[in-house]
Amino acid sequence: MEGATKGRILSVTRSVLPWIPALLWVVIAFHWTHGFRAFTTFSAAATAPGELPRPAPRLSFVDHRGRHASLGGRWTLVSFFYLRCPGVCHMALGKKREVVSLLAEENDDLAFVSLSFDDDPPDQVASLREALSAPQSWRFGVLDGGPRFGDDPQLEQIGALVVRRPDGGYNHSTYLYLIDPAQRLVKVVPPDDPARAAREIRLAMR
Amino acid sequence: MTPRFVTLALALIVAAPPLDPWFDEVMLRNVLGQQPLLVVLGFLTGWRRDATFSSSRARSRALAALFNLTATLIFAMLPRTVDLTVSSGLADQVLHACLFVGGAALGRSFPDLGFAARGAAGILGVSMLFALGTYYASSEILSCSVYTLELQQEVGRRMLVVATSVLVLLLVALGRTLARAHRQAPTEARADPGARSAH
Repeated sequence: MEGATKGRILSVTRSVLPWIPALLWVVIAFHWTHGFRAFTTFSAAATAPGELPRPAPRLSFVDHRGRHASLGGRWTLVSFFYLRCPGVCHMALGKKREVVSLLAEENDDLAFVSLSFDDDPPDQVASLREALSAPQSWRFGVLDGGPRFGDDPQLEQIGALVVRRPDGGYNHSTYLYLIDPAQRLVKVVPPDDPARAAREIRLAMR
Repeated sequence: MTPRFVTLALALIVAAPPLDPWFDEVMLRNVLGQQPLLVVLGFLTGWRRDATFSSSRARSRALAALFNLTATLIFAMLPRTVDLTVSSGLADQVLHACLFVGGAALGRSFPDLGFAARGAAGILGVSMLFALGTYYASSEILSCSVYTLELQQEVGRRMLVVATSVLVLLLVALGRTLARAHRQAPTEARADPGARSAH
């Protein structure tokens, strides 16, 4: 009897054992992707600081008019760019322009801010803003203390990843970060589908 | 030296410097060069020609090996994992070992896999390549933080070419299997004319 039980346990173990590595991969993948939510390093950086809403850093910057300013006190949709960017930033700013045009008229209390994390001259940033025909509510600026990348605590807190490439350029998050008047980050949306992004921002502001 | 040692030695060469940094330098070489190469070399190292154990346990083991390799490849293809393998040498080597061992386990139990399981694996592999290739080729958003958008889009375009080639190969293999079955059926019927009436 005891021998039969042992034999059955051995048989079950032999059947189950080959499946354990595959199941381990599923467990590791679940942990690695923050519960199957973050498949890229950028989305992992956005989710790593904690669940939304969470406190947003009070980023200070020099705006396109050369004046010192900081985020806070009202609904703000923030994104990051740098002037030397060969392609991704232009695409992301183009998409943000569509989001701005969808949201600006219906939301007087929503401000739009695009910040350079590189040490870009504010006058050139102002030229880019003019080229994009940005409305009054869309401010451009350069983050204080730039260039800012890597383990920058404020960028980490907001969930933006900026990696410096060997060629001197940057790979960085292109998300739109929605901050509420209580200085909390309430929504992070990708800009690739402006209509969807605008819809999600409207919902988050209710 | 047996072919098994040759494939093992080749895998070590592919996974170790100076070839490893060369593969990691460009996304195309990393994702469509080194990773599939290690799986194929693992498969050849573990390759067993005949199904010596046709028990249900052997078939279950073969399915587990297929599932394990699929899970390993999906994990390896995650953009975040691609980033990690470039930034961490240890993670890179662990993943190389997993891909090689996963390929070897599948090669060892491949003869025990049924036609349906092989077909399903083929369809899954091709659809994964098509889906990921389309995403990488068309996306204007950077997925891997260590490569550029141009490299990512190039990988996507090449992935679509590979997916199409694999699909053609699968269709050819399917055609050959069906033709062989068609040729064997009349032969078997002639050899045992009373088989149908006996049943």
